[in-house]
Amino acid sequence: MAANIRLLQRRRRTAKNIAQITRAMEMVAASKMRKAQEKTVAAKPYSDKLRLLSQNLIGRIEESKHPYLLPRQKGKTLVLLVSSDKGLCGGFNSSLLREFLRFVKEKSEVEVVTVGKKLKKAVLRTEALLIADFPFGSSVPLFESILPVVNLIKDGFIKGEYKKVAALFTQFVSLGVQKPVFTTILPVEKETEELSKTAVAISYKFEPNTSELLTALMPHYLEMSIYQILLESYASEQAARMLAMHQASENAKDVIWQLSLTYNKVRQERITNELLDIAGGAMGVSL
Amino acid sequence: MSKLHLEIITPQRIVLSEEVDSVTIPAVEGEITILPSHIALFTRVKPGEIHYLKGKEQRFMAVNEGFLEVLNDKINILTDYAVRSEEVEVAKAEEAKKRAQVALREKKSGQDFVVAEAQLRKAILDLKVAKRGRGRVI
Repeated sequence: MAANIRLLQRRRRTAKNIAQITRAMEMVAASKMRKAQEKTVAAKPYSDKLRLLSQNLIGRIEESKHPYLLPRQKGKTLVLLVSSDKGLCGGFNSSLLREFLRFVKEKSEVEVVTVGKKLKKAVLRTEALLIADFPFGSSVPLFESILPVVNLIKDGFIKGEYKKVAALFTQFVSLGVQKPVFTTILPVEKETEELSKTAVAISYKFEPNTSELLTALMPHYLEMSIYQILLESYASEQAARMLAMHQASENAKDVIWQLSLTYNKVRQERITNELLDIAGGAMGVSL
Repeated sequence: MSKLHLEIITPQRIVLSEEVDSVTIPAVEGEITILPSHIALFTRVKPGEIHYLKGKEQRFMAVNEGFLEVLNDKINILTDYAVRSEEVEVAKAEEAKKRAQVALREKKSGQDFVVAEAQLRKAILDLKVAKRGRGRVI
């Protein structure tokens, strides 16, 4: 009985410690997510303008005239798979993996570049060929850190190895909802009619000429789109972690409550038993 | 006289957003000065020095490679790096210059070399505009 009580106490203490850690992690994730959102907002004027200018140029150039725009029939598919370096973020990585496996099953000749350690091993177990992996890091991704990724993708595409380059990453829908999505990175697609129409409507004087400008603009456009993807994935990861840790804290609270209840019951029972013993003993003496 | 609205935008932030009278920019086809009522223009910017006039005051900025858009008296410069002359930290720039030079001397290959070269160019540019100080009244 006594051992049981001590065991209960110990378990309650453990649960308290865990609750403390998960609460701290929840708060860290929350502040990291805020930072990611600030970055995204700060990058918005640049990326919006870049997109508008790119669409203007794309609208003026025939698809077949430029390597970035050329639709291709043959070649492999390259997937940029953005996961996280760290775990403890709920279903973040597993839902990405599920989506990825479905994709691999449908397509043949898939090559993969991973950012983030978590899904690297999973990719190695599939038929898809892992050609490069990059760490994600545990803080807001730096703009410089994406340059090697961009170069890899760009060179492979220009050489004609791939017919399509897509990214699989986790979209930040809201604080509670993040979902894995595929987006095409290359060839660069014309955007919805409306946007491209307004963009093309502005007739600039182009110096030196549209084709050369597009060649110069495209690397920046790619960098920015991939950077945005990384930022969004980072925000999603932190949001997922925040939620997971919140749930863990709540669970720990429940466990603590349950354990406290059992502990008190056991303690009370023991006191009652002792009292009964004493009463019984006293009765025996008085007889 | 109408004014120009100059905005210099980097992926990190909007570095500058001001009403100015004229802007001189190092474009690929040569240095150009833009005055109000300029036609819509879209061109590339070379790494170099931008200077603009605000009333009687002339101010300087260093910019890296980028793009220039002129539309309805709004000038947008998109670049991955830009800094105002008074914001350049001379000590840091000097240090960066030295570091880049060392890296270049060691003749690192491929990526490292390109990075070092870019850093050197950036540091030299920073130092050049830093000498211009806070701008001057003409």
